[in-house]
Amino acid sequence: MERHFHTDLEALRDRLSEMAGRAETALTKAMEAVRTRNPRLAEEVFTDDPAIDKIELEVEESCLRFLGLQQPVARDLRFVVASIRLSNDLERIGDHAVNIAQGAIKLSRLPVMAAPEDLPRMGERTRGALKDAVSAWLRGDPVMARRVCERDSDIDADKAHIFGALSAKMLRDPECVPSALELLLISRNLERVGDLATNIAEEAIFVAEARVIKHHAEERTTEA
Amino acid sequence: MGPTIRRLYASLLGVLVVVVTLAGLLIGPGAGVRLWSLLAIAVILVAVLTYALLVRLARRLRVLEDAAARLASGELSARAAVEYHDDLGGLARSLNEIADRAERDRNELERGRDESAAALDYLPQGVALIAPDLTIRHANARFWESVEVEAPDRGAHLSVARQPALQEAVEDARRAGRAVTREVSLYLSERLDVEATVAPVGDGATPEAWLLTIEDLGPERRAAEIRREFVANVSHELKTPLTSILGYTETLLQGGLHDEEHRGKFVETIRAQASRLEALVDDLLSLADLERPDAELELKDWDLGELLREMAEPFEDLAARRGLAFELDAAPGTRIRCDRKRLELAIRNLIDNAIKYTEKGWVRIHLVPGTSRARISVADSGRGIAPEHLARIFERFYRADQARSRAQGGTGLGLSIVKHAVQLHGGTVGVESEADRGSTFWLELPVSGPGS
Repeated sequence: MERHFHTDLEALRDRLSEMAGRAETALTKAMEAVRTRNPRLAEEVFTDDPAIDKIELEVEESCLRFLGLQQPVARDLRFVVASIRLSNDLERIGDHAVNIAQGAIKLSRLPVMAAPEDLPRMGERTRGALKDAVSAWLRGDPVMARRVCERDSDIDADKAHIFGALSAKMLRDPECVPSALELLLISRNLERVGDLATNIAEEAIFVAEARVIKHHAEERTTEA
Repeated sequence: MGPTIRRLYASLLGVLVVVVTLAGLLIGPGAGVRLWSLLAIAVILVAVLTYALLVRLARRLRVLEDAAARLASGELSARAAVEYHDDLGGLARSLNEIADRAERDRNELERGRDESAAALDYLPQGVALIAPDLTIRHANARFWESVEVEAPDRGAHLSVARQPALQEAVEDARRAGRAVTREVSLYLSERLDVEATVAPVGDGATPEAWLLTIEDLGPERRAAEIRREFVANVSHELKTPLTSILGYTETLLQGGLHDEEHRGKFVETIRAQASRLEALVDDLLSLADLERPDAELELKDWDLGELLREMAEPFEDLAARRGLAFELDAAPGTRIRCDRKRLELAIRNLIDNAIKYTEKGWVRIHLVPGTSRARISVADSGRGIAPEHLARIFERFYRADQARSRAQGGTGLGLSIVKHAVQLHGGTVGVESEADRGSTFWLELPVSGPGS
């Protein structure tokens, strides 16, 4: 019984890791579609999204089954609870990727406007944060998770820069307003992905150390 | 003393008691005290001697037992000590031989495995051996590098690679029961186009494992891209002057010849465009010559300072006509082995560029001798090059300022020629520039003789 239970938990971890791979790919594809003005690549993000949703339902169902039938305790209980949250976060990230892909399609129909330099950097930072947060979660590495939490402010700063640059551009040249608005929405979606990556990192710490660090910014740095 | 030996000793003592009792009955109560004493001494002697012998036997058995236990637990370097050439000694020798063979086999296996792993790590492709339940049995370093994931400590599910496209390829192959090859894009810090091949391993009806190989398609794609771009650029560059020549010839033929006021200008334009074509074709030929992999250099010893003076001389006039100060600081004494014609191409191109793109101020050519390498710099007070262009400026047809380059009769190939000519001589080129302050192009060449 005990042994069975742990194989099942391993299978759950594998599913989550597959789901994370899909969410990361969706985000990177969407950003690549923005950069290369490629609507076909953006459409791939739409067609890939249902697979993410499907895994979310599966993960939720198996977690509920564990809770009901096995009544896990301590670390196992935290793992099951955190799995549900991780799958929710990843599903939301998939949705943000879809939003970005929609933006890419709209942008590809508008006249070319150079995106602010910070946007590709913000995209890369967000992708990196998500990747590291998921790795920290899957490997149970609280040190790596804490580093992700600390990096969130960089992403927020990128967004502030982009907002500033785009507002100035819109004031100077009203013709670029439609493109600038799309870029604004894209950066907003990236910021949300960054927040969700931070959530995932916080969950990783919760699983590994049974410590909730949400909403206590000071603990992130003082308790190492 | 182990339980077996203890039991053996107990039985021996039992036998001894029975023998003494029987002896007592046979001798009868009439025997003297002496006989009884002798019997008692004999009994004690036998008991003590047997005990000593058995303790010794037990010790030797324990040595064998320990060695066997250590071998059984996987410690293949364990051996039993051989003390005597008796039957127990033979047993120890046999045990040691078994251990020798097992250890040799294991070492060979390990060496084979290490060699395969090392060979796999050297492959340019990422390779992963995947069990039917999608557990990665082995993957080489390149595989983990390709997917930008740290290799897990033990066998992990393929999903740890977090590349849905690869997982789908393996799942499709497994479903179809045969090899699958497809091009997939991995979305990482940069998009990576790879060819993924999933092939069954084992000869049974159901494969024992699947071999996933991923090969970067990037280099080939990029090479094709460069070729395509080059052809497109060359055609475009050739077409522009040709169109202009054809246009003016047409105008001349359709009555322009009789237009005394303009025909001179038309012919002048045709000549200018034709010489632009000539310059372009010359540059293309130079470049083709420099890029030939079997290019043979006509190497001779020269004095770099003198060479520079001779090369720069024709430009003094040109600079003066444009109102530029022309300074040359090149002391003789630095010996260099070079192909004069080809090196001249590089240096003349740099000086020519500096004069063309400088409206006012100066052009300075400076030779810095060194013990192993000499540095030649061509600096100007022109408008400089924006930082975003600097990295690409040595590429063919790359122009920092399209309009100005064309107006100056530039072919877009000059700096590319400089780079190739210098590289042929084992040297390096570079540029530093600041907008509105000017640029400094430099090249470094290995010297053959003592610098001054």
